[in-house]
Amino acid sequence: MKGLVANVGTINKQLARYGVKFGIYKNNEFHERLFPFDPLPRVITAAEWSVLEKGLIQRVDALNAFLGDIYGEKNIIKDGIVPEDFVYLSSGYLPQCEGIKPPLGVFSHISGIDLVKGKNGTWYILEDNLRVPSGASYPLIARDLCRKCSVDTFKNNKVKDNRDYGDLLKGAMDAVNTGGINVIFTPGRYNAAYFEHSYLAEKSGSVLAESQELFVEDNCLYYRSLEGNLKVGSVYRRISDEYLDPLCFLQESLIGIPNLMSAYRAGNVAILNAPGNGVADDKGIYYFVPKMIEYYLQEKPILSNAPTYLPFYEADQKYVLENMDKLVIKDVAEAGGYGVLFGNELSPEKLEELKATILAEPRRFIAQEVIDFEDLPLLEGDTTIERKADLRAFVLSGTETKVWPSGLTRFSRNPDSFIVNSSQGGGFKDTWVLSR
Amino acid sequence: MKILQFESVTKLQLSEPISKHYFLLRSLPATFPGQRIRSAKFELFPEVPYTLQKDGFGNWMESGSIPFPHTEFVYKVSGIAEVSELDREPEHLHPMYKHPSHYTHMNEDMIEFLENVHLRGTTLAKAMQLADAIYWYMKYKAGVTSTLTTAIEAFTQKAGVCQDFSHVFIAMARHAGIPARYANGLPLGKGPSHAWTEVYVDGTWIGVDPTRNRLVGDDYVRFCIGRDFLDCALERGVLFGSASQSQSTMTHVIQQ
Repeated sequence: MKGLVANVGTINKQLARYGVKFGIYKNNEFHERLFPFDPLPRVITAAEWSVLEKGLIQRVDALNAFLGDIYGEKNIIKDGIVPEDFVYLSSGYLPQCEGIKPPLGVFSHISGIDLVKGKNGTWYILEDNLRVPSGASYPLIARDLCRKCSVDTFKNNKVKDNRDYGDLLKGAMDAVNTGGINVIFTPGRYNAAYFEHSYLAEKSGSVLAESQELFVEDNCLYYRSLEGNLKVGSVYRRISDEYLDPLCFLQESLIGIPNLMSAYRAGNVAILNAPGNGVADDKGIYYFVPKMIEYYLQEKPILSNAPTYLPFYEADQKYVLENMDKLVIKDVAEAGGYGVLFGNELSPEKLEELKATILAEPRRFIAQEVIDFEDLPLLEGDTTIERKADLRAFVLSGTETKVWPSGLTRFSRNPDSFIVNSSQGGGFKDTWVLSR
Repeated sequence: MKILQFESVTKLQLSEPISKHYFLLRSLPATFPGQRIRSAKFELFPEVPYTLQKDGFGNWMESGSIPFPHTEFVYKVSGIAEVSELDREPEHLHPMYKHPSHYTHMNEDMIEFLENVHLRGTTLAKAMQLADAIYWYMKYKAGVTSTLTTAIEAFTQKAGVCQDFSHVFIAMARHAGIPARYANGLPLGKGPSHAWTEVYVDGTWIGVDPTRNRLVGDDYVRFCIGRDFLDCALERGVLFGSASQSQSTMTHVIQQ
């Protein structure tokens, strides 16, 4: 560990050279900045991990079943488990995807599940990210640099190897591949996560392609290479749904591939993750995930949600309005740590304003108990300070569902902040899963 | 019930040859409650293979590409439809038709306008009052709006074409608690293709045409439906090249 601490400057310099950056929006301006690395890892014991692993697999399997149901039979709505307005009012629900059956029935191939560990030792799920969750490359490359800087650290500690992420990704892409090459489709080098796109392409043996290199012909997707056109069997796209295909979604999209959705609907190409997944990682749908686990898998949820209230339900609304100062209120329409309000930080006027908005649009909000989550030590100069941190676990689904024995631990620099989303500043740590 | 014989020819003319052209058409009407398609024929010029699929709304889509230079693109559809609006089978209401969609948001002025209409009576009566109010408020005028114009924009300039009348109507109807959706197709007679709306009344969809201030009845062949224009354009294309284009659509529907 000392070796890591001594080399933190070198590691961060290397990360900067690789272009490990994060894009953030502040005051409507886009800024790219480095994502600082802290050398003290988060350590997860083997026993703890085995519970997390089972719980994450269970959760992602249920979410995949939910997506298949929503864009298919809709039994969970017919059976009254999830109110239909919660599903169809979600901006992530895309009726254009109705009736599409993706290969193997997998919708969320790469899921980024955000968790925090409470001071009581319990892990809580904060949110599910089933669209294009980013961040796997950060711990991957940081671990690689750490190994080089301090070989002893990894000899003396039984840390599970995490270098298999590329293989896991390739496995997920191969499993759904309809015949042809694997492609990572990037919006281009000006995208904040371009580093990650190129890094993952290299690690998974996929071709990195931009929209002008991809086209649909005879309802199949092709990659234009120097040696000729190659059929694409699976495309891991790193652009959001609405820009994917200008003939199906936003017609003004210049970075999409015309008729990609027709090829996908016909089963001629797999799209990772499936368009329309936003309906399952909506903040309002989050409340129902434990119910989905029971409904689809007939199992008890292994991992807990943070205690959540839906003002949509009368009893919950009453509780929320009476206990605003204890709760964190989230606007379901916002993402990336925006639209998150802590009741105890609001002025009396703002509080009243928020109450009125909740009464007028109860569907728009969820409220959660503030979890007193564990602090992790960060290096600051020669000493350490304690800060809030979360964990994004990566779950990959193909023929089977697997959890990458690593993850992205993000921390907040601000001592008072409970928001650790990378879009809001902060840095990251390596996540060690011990093998015994 | 009426038996309607329909034909539609759309011609896209380009000033220069374009190298590549992707298209997605919704030019074949489907059978649905209130309409049965007895026969339909679809033709494309230049003759290229195309894919026929149903989209998420149940509409037929014809998609494909023309990978060689061309200056003209023509598609033609003809067939026979049995239309019986009055005995439509009940349909489940999809909740997406209750809420604002891409083109159909409201602003303060529209809310005020809607309040001043004082809708009353049955759902259908309310829908007709709303269509009437919009019909007299907005002027039918070609060339002042585009396919990107929203309900708010069209309402603000008090003018537009059938697409705009329909979007304004849908925005207001939904705001007033009446589920509404967008429809595209061909009305009886000669002319361009047309857009209108449907409102959900007691378990079935009923066609209302705010541009003509009338019920649709058995006089329209419906090609496609959606929340608004974005979901169910009759034609969408991506063209590679720098040509200027002109398009004309001639439709003809006669009662047998």
